[in-house]
Amino acid sequence: MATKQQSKISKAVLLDLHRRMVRIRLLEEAAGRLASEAKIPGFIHLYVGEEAVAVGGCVALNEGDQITSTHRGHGHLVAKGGQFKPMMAEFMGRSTGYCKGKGGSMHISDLDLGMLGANGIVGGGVPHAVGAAFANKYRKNNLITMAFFGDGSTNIGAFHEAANMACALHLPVVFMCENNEYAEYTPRERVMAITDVADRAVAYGMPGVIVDGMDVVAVYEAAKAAVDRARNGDGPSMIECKTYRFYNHAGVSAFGTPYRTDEEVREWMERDPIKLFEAQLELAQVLSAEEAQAIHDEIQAEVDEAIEFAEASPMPDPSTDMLTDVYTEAP
Amino acid sequence: MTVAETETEERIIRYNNAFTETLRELLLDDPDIFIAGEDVGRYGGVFQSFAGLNAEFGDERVVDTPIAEQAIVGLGIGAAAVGLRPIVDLMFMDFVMVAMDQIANQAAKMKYMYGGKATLPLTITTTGGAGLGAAAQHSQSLEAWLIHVPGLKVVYPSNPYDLKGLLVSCVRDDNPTVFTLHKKMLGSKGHVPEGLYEIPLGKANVVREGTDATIIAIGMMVGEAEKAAETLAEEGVNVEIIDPRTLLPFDTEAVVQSAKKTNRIVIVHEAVRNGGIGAEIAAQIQEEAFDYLDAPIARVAAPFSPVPFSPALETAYVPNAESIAEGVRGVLYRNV
Amino acid sequence: MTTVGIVASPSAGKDLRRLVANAGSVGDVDKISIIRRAASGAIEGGANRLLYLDDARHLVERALEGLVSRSQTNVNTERIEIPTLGSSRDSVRAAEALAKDQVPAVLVFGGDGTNRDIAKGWQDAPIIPISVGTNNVFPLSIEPTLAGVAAGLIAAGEVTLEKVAHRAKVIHVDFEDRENDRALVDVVLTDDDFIGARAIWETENLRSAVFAISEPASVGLSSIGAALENIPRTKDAGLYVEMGNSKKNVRAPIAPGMYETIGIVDHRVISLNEQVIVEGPGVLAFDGERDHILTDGQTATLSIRKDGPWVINPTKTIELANENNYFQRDS
Repeated sequence: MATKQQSKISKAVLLDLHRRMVRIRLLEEAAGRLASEAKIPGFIHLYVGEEAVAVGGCVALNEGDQITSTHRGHGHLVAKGGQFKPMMAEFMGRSTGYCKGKGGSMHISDLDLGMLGANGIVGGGVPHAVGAAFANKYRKNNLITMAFFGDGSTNIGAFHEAANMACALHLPVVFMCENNEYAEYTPRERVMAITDVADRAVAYGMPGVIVDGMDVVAVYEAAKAAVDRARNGDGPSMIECKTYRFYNHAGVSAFGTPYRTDEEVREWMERDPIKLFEAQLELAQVLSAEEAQAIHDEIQAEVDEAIEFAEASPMPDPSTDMLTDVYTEAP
Repeated sequence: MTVAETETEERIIRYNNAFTETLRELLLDDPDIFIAGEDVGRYGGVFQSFAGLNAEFGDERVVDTPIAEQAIVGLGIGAAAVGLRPIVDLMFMDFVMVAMDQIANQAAKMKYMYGGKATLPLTITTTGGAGLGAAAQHSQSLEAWLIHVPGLKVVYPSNPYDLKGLLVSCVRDDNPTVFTLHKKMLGSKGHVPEGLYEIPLGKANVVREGTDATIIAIGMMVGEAEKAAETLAEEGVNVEIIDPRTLLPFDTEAVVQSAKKTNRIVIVHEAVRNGGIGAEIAAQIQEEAFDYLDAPIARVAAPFSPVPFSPALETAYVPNAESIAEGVRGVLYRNV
Repeated sequence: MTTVGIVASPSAGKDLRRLVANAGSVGDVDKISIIRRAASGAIEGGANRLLYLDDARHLVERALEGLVSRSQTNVNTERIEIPTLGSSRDSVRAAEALAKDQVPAVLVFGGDGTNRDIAKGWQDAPIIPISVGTNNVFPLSIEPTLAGVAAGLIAAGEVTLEKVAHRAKVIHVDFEDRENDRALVDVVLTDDDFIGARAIWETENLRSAVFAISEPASVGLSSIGAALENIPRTKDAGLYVEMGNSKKNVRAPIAPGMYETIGIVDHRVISLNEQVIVEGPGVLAFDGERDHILTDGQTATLSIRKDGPWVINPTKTIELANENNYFQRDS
């Protein structure tokens, strides 16, 4: 038999996939805790359970590529390289936050990283991905755009308009669907006559595929294929990641709700994307359990530091900050 | 009068052609500018406002889009957010409503909710106004819906000269602007210099100076107000006319000054009176110049109904020189 | 009661091969119409009881709903009473239930994987495997109406199974450390570390393979073997191939629209029951999908046995019925 060659995915990429997932998880668990202690005001939509999607997608991108996000956007920003301190500060409404305390969790963004913003309107960000992709094609800069969206947003007109336009204009977009089976608190089958969002892709004129959204390697492989297509000028594609959010649509509870069964939640938690991947990494002798734990500890320390930073940060000042950033002033 | 002005004054072109010419010059001026919208490409726009641009600049810069107003504005937002300077067209102002999420929730708020990092040099062009028998869904004047949204700029030129200068300013502005043409004025003529020039946004124009009363008129109503002023002059009434040109940000100072001078105000717009921009202007004037007013501020506007189809109804629906003159007589207590 | 069983794989036709190759997409609406056509054929062939697996997408239920409500005949539809999990286990358990009922003919809609699941649950199931559009070797490309008629004819006893069916070969895979598994077409050892998106589209990682079927006019990994030896599905033999850098190469369509060059180190025809041992590290792909990870030194023992499902030839079945004038009526 042939000798073992290098695996297709490099060790560096594997470790990157792992680290970014753990970063999302630990930040989210902390954010959830702080929200339940009322230290984070407003609504909070946690990404826990869906980490493999944002990470598999974003690791397949190049620096400079853009993403658009959803109202569950923390994971996307972390996956794109977002920093804990300004994120945590933003969650807490501090002036040191990514959005100077004016956006909060639901509008978390860093345009410098190409993360064009979480969005409080379901489906509202998808047309922006089409616009950014248009700009990339216009400038021939070899960048592409990835739109993250949920199953629910594919029922909104803006999604349809954007998907059609992206295909009609043959733009470098990857449509990355996080099908977590619930549009807020309503099961998918109550509001869609089809099970697979990917079925919709063909109608717009692009290929659509389904991957296991709890398996970060599967998502990464699919994302890579779609990203390559977009970058090579072959137009948009859609990837439907079958995933699940462990917590409710908003807030920090997972169990005891009327819209889904505890049994179902536990079944999905069995398929925790981080635990699955850590088992795979150990089997492939890429990362031992001890090494994984050390990474968790290191990231947890960074989260704790971010909390301290945020808590020590000033609130924005109503007398000076209310009316700034409404408009861009002429230079 | 300078020599240059004499020369340019000789150049009389149509309002619609001024629009096309300005777009062309802007496209030549800045490679980051592109135009996208329904029928704007090969066909040149339903009013031929984009005629020839696709042929000259190609499909990449003058883009035919699907009939999809949300995605058209969204396309502009995304492209602007990453550095281009898009001009997207919504054909009829009524269709602004179809794209309202993208305009009001997305474009207008991005800068603020993303902490100042988003810069959106986006211009949305559209056509408003009645008078073409286009009925309820192709004739509205919906500027009041837009001025309620912090983050937007709203512009409504009343003549070809202003059109060019204001459009250049809109496109060069780093904020999302809505630029409204009046579809009944497309054939109207006026002097327009060649080459790009800017008229600053947020600056009103005193169209006619006067002493007895002030008419604040928007869009096509400016022309009607001028006609009314002539009639009133024959009656010995000397009116001042102010064209705000930009509705948001609004030049409060200009109208307040005029109110202090003439003490009587008539606000004219084509939109329905209820909840129209006239209400906002009146409120601002009474806040700043209540003691100067010798009469309640009057509003001349459309009745509170959808725009009707029949010429008999539509003609009566849209304010005109006659109804404006009547409004002025009202604030002067000269009604017959 | 004349019973025909129906099992459909809801996930067929949506995997990554739509992005990395040129595989066709088959949406649920198409699948429902395919199942409906087959079911109407089964009724025509004499079935009056359709016993089906209610899959996660309710494809069969939706197909039958439209059919039976409009049908004049007195046909019972009955769902197999098992709890479904939405995984491939469902098909295995459905096959077990059909075995208990000794259903005389089963219509299987799906790819090689679905048929493998049926074979796991019911080793000698009488089946008509129907392709739903992807590249597959085991299932037949036949108009579903005719496949359905054939199933009905067998179930009604109009045609005897033994005259029109062959026993499928099965590749048995015995592991040291986990439950044994089986494949119907091929088992391939690849140089991967992960199961990921399952599909295989890069050839440089292929190491060795056992083919139960390698027929020249087919698409998929078995076409590699086919370029070396024609092993028809009915032949009492198999093929073992070692791949890697070599002067000897074959051109093979490993996925739709994708001819690749594969280096052949060695190959030989193997007999039934002959044992082939493969050794990790690597991933074992079953019928074209990555499925089992073998760590360094772990082995699996492969052998081809002729103990699989009875595969009904629909063309032959209809021809025999025709000879008996089944389709002639006196009015």
